[in-house]
Amino acid sequence: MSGTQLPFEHKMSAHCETGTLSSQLAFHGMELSEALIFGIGCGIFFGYFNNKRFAFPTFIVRSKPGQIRKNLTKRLGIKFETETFKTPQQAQEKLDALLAKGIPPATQVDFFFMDYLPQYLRVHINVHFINVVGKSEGGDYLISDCYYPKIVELAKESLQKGRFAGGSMAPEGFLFYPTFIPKEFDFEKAVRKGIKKACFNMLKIPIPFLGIKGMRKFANHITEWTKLAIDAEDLSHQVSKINILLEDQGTGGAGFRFMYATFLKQAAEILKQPELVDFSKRMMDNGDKWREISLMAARMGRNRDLSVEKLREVGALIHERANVEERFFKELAKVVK
Amino acid sequence: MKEKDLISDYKVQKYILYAEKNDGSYGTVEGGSYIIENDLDDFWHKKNHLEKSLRERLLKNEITPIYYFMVLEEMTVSELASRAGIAKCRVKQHLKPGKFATARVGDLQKYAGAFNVPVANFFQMVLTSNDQNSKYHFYHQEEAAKDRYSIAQTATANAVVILTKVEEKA
Repeated sequence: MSGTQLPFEHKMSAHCETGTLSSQLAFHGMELSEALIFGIGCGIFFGYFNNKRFAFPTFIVRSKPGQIRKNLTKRLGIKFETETFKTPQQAQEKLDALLAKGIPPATQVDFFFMDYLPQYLRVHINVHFINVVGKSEGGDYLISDCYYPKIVELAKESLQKGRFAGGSMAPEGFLFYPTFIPKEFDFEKAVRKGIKKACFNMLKIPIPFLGIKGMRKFANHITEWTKLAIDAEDLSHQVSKINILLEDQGTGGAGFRFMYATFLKQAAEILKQPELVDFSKRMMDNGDKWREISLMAARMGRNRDLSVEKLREVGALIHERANVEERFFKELAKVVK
Repeated sequence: MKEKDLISDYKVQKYILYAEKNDGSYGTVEGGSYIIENDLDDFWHKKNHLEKSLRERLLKNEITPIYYFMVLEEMTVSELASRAGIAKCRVKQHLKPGKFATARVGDLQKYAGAFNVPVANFFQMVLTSNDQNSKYHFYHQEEAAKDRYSIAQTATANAVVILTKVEEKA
């Protein structure tokens, strides 16, 4: 069996979902930057989860996986063919059929089974997105993963396990590719809507652990972590994870805040509203402060400096961020009205 | 974040970051991971320590192999139940040393799929000369390099049988 590789331009990017969307659209002839996709799809978010579904309290800094793609469809009219499968066999047949037709689909996988990544990165997260761009001679798949510098081969067994890992947000072999891209776009309307929805998500969702409320809950609850951890090393691991979640899980730095600042700068030009440049700068400064929190968490984790007082200090810094972001999004909502 | 403040000589893990570039525009720059560059040794230390303490408890029959892997993989009972396709109440039973013996081979195969280990590894610990569990996936390359022997496990057509080969390194 001879190998095939579609002429797919591999590009590294900060985040897997937006990066995959950006390169999928590029393959079908539409250039849209990752930051713009993130902004229009209103990816920026915050949520703090402290329930039985998680082994330890955790937080998110982005909207629900898949939401960005749905928002792109809603706001720009780009249509995607999406499909989930009952059996791995069906999923593989469909993937092969698409590749034979010259379409490189994006698929959802469990990060753990991406064998080409180093071991310490491979954790069980069901919401990683990759592009499948061809097949090797041995029947394995060629993957364009935006966290990896080049197109890489992945054993077909690993891809299948990754696509059919169970658990929360199980991929079920999910794949998607664009089928219709309109010739003209109303970017102004889309960007405006994206910003408005982001402001709504951060300020007005009436659930006490989402948006700014989630940030405050996180800030208040972090001192309780000492009671929840099994021992000092476990607590150190969990505190270090604050850094990982903010910086290392494909956020572009500071929990997507830098990416959103970049989007706002582009939005200022699209909406012809120069005042947004100032907002963009404020978001960049806000990101710097988030980065200080994540660096502090990493150092605390390493030095086992994990007293309640120290965690309270982190909580106070997060409270400060909540206040700053609340003011920021309230003012932003008024500007884009 | 400004591009000039970014330390770009991180070697272990490269990331794309967003920052203020030197010309004042905002966009992507190549950066690295602070925590991986500085704290990876501490991460391995914590992971290996956790593995050893769980192993001790497992050998004393205080916990079951399912519990051992579940904690190492940072899964909850419901996450494991969903990944393995076994009812939550059954998984809870399999976490008790007294009840583990009631698990069916079919159940064990499902667990093995969820943890991505061979079924045989629920009943044995393949230790290296560094006293590491070589079949625990966090047995990392640095440790493997120190070992005199390499241990390879290959799957066979029989789902419950695995070939374990120990070879002296050249």
